[in-house]
Amino acid sequence: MFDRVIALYPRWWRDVYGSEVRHLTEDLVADGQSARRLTVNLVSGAVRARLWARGMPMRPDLWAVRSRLSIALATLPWLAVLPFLAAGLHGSTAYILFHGPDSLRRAHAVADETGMSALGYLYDVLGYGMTVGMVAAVVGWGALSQAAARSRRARRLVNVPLYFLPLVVGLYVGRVSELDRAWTSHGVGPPVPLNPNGPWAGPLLVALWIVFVMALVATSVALLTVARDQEIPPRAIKRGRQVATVVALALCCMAVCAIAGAALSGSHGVVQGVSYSSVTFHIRTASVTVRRYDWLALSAPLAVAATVPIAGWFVSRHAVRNLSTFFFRF
Amino acid sequence: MGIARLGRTHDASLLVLTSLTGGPKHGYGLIQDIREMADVSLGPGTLYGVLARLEEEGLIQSLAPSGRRRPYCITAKGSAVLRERLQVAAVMARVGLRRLGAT
Repeated sequence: MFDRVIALYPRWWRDVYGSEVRHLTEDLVADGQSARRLTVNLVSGAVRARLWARGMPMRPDLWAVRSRLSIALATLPWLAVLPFLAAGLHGSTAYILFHGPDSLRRAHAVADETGMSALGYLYDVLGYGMTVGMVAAVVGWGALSQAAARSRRARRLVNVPLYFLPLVVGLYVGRVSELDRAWTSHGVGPPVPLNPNGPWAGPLLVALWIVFVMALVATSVALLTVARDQEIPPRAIKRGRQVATVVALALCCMAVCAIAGAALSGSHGVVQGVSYSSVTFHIRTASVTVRRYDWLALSAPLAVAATVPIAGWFVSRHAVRNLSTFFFRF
Repeated sequence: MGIARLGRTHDASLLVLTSLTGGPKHGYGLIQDIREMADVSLGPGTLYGVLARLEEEGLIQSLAPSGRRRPYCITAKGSAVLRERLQVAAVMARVGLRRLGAT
């Protein structure tokens, strides 16, 4: 049992202290100490060793790996919450930045007319955060993957930004053409007066969602692969840490907005004969309703996801600071 | 009343350094000595986290293993740091006790 717990520690730590700790725990158990208590103590020690890495040898390869892993941890949660964001913002009548200036003004007009301007602005912030995070990930991880191009495995993944391009373009085009309500007017359900799309809108929306999911999976794989590569110069790692900082801030901001939206929402209203409190998507015989007060469903994953990049930011800060000593030394 | 019952008022690194002033010790010896000295029970995860930090800062150093245990000893830098911290603690103790005695 203790061998499995000691395996939670980093490899460099096990090389230095592993055998000592194993023998020590055996002696303590023989003395009558609780094995469960010792296990809990060892697990907490493993968490601290991974987070703070005190005593880690000053080797550039070790600190480079630590930096890359922390940056990957900082950005992967943001990718994970993107589907929640897209689903939660998808059916809103208060449009986000992707719709363009005219839609944005209309969104505020709708919100003001119904006395829910605060929610309208919170939606805007969520949209801005989503945009900023996406751009940061494209730029930052593109730079990091370019720096890792020496590795034979990473060379195939060097064009990470291309994975996001169809996603960004498709989402923008879809938003501008107001595809989000194609379901309600061209699926099963009553027509929506504000939707001018033709019958092609539904299949195009499905195609965009498929591209979106593929981009998420591919980018996640690319991030993990880049994190394992050792041929990355410190300058690129610093840039990656800046990405982690932006993503962490965006996630925290969005989490706060979602929680505020959950606190503020709850009322309903009618605009131009359409109840904007909910939008129903009809997919063949199934229907999915995204309600305005589904802020809670957004806020929960955002809040959880925001904690990981915060920890990753602190870890990468310590790692990059130590790595910088090697950079200036050479 | 043991120190441990006062909550997290003990500093594990201070306990380890103080214990090592009595001579080199391995992990098991440190745990036993600290328990006798201060009635504090350090777990192996806590102890080796402290040892790693102290070793990184140059306050202790590891010696050649004897059998399956490796002893640690305090360095000159560690002794100086410990002396300074204990002197500060002694002043605090003197002032605090005097004021408590006055009330």
